[in-house]
Amino acid sequence: MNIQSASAYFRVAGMAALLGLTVGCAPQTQLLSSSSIDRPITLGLSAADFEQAAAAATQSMLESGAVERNDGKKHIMVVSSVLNDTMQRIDTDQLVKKIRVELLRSGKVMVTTAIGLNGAEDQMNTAFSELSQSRKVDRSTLVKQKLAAPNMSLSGKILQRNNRVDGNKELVEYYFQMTLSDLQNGLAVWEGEEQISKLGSAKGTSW
Amino acid sequence: MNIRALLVASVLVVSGCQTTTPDTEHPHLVIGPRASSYLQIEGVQEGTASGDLLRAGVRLRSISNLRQTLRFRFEWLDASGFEIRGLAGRWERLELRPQISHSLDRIAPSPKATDYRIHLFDISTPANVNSHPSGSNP
Repeated sequence: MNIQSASAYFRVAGMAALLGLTVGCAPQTQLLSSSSIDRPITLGLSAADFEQAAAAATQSMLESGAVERNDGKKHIMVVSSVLNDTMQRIDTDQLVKKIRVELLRSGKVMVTTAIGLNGAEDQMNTAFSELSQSRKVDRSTLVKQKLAAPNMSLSGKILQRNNRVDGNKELVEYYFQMTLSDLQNGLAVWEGEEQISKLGSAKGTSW
Repeated sequence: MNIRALLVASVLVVSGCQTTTPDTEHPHLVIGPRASSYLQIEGVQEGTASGDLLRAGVRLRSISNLRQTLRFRFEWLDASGFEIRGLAGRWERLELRPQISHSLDRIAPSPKATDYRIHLFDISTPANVNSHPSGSNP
């Protein structure tokens, strides 16, 4: 082995050792349990909080009988606005989607994806009506579009309040407020509020 | 030979300690080994909600003089015995105050639910404790 090849050998070995050290010291990525009670608790809003709020809302809705119909038909629900009045940037669909899934599974409610405050949630509903006018489409394969009008609307708000406790602790309270309205008369047929409170170090932030 | 027999016996004893207590009085309940030491079941309720949704509940009391934390879930089963997933079947936590009665009840996620099991475990019970062959419990 000449001097040049020995130098190259040690360089490669050194880089390999460095890489090995780096990988060895890096924290390992863990796959967490799907059970929310086994996950770490954070001061901010987490998936477990959305699960708890959605579960409480759907259980309360089903218990109240507000979504029950005795004519054999199902309610058609439209999702109105769910405001995020917290200090965190969250997608309120994390809450709404869970409620929708649960209500659909209950067999009591169906959700329209063709109507919404900002247009159709599934834009294919609109695109399809344009497509049906096209001459390029085989008419024999066309289905007649007849959108179901909603008779119920789900709206809500997520609030956050922070308070200092004992100087070095922070109490963070979250309120999940939901309302189900009957669109025929504009009356709220169900309302629910789920509160989640967390106490943590004031040095950290909840957002 | 004797050592091997002793080992087998030890394994059997240890395995026996990790199984749940079958509650013959309340067949819908699956109670963990540690939780059964401080839980007193006052009653199991059954009914319906929103017309055709199965509703189940249990009223329990902690006979311990200390605060205990329970992890529980409602397992909903269809007519074929398959589990129906949903938020109503998730694991939840309950703080038990000494000598105080607590009531738990949930509504089935689907009208397909025809049967249920209520799992009650102490929070410290290890995740590998199996309550029944499905193995879906912590």
